Amino acid sequence: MKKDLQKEILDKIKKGEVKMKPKEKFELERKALIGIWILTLVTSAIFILMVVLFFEVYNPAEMMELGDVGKQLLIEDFPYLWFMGGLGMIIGGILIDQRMGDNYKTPTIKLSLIVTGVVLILTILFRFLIG
Amino acid sequence: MTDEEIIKTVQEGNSEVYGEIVKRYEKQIYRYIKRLTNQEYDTVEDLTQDTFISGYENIMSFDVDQKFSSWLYRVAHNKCIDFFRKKRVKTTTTEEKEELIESNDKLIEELEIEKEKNLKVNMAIESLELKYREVILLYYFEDKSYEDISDILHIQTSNVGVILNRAKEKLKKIL
Repeated sequence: MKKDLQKEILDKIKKGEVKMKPKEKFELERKALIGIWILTLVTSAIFILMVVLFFEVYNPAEMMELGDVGKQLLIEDFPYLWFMGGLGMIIGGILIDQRMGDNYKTPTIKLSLIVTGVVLILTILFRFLIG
Repeated sequence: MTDEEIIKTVQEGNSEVYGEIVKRYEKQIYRYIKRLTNQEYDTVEDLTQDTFISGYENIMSFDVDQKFSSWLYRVAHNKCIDFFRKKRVKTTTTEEKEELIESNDKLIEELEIEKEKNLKVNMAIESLELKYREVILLYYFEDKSYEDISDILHIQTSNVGVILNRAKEKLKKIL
């Protein structure tokens, strides 16, 4: 090495040109990531709940008794946006989960099951909460 | 004193001892960046310096229960990725490398200094895609374990073996 790297870096540290970022910054970032993760899962559960409520109103068994009209009603009125939003949020949750701590070591399938499981539990919980 | 003990001291406010970390790792990090980027001396030296500076700036995010060398290699890896993104460095082909080596005495000299035994193998490694090249370099040239490579590249330990095998297959085809 041409440069005396050790000296150059220590000089920069002494002069204050290079400063350590505070520990709180990293803590805050970590907590923010967890917060976003929780928010994603909660949002996903709410979206999925909309789909569940749809099926409560449009009972598939009853709709099928109506024949083609029932099928058409189910297809036309299905809350596609809520459903896609819910799925998107689950995928987002998995991607965020992979970035947390040492989770890159955990198989994606395992993380996917955990995230999906949490969303389903939250959906059931919300369903009971709204009565 | 272990690396982790030194880092704990730095985290407690004794910045002077960070010099010891630079002393311990400057050659390894330089060599790793050089092989990964295949850039000129000054660029590699700057990237090495950036790695240590970034390491110091982010030292508070390091968990002393983990392995410091893997963490530092991760910082170097990120610096190289940033460099590739900024410069959009194209990977030179084997033919271009041959021309480059013929015309560039300095590079040959550097390769001799680094005691590269097989020029063809090195050229083949350099022509690999970044993800394969990086795993080969870390495993064979930096003597890193699967666990360490997993920590440096943030991939599953089982995937390290898969990527390594694919890289070897690609190398066989090239050679």
